[in-house]
Amino acid sequence: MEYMRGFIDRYQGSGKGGDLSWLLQRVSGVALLVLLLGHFFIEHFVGGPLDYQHVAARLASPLWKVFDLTFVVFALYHGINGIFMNIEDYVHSGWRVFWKGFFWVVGIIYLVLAAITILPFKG
Amino acid sequence: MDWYRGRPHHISYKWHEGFVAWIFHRITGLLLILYLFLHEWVISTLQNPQGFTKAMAALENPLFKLLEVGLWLVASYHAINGLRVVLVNFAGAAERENYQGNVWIFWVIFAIVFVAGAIPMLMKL
Repeated sequence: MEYMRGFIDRYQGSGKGGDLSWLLQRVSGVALLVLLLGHFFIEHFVGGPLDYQHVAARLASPLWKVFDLTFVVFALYHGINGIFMNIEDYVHSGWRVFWKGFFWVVGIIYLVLAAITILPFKG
Repeated sequence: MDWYRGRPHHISYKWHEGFVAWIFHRITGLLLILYLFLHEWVISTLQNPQGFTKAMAALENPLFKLLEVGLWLVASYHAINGLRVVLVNFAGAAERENYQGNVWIFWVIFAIVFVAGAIPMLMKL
């Protein structure tokens, strides 16, 4: 993996480069704060216990589908972007390429899992 | 961090208030993404009502109720410290004297928010 060296050195840690993902991390973080408060309030304070009927009734509505999908997209983006920042700061070998690729795949799998759970749901 | 000094890619850290808050921010962040993966996996059982009911019944276990308080600890820390970081970055709170002060203000706010949320959770145990 020595041949990757020059490429990796140019992207040495989240402190150098990556200013767009840095900014988007702040933006998505603030958005998540609002979305999380809504999610938490709805699940814990409105409409009875967390059983199938309660969750299914909410998830059948298109408006909540949009809310939940937005929430999960922001959460996955923010979380995996955070993992990327950790990889950039602590992994300085060719393994960096492996771990970033690995979490790209994990992210896409979880995005698909969310989509097939939320979108076709009829209750 | 002395063991790391002089290594080819070494980053030098100073043990001030913000650094400790930042270390915890990374640890809580990693715990939260791990939780998101597990949470999404459990919620995907909604496609099968029996499966969902079974999964939710398993979560009634007191161990999970206690873990929920741990989740609140981690999530409230990450959210409130994240807000502090945004203020440091964009609201001119990065000056040295303000910066040290705001970490201590953050710990107080975090403690109040965490305890206020944890009391009703523990009362349901």
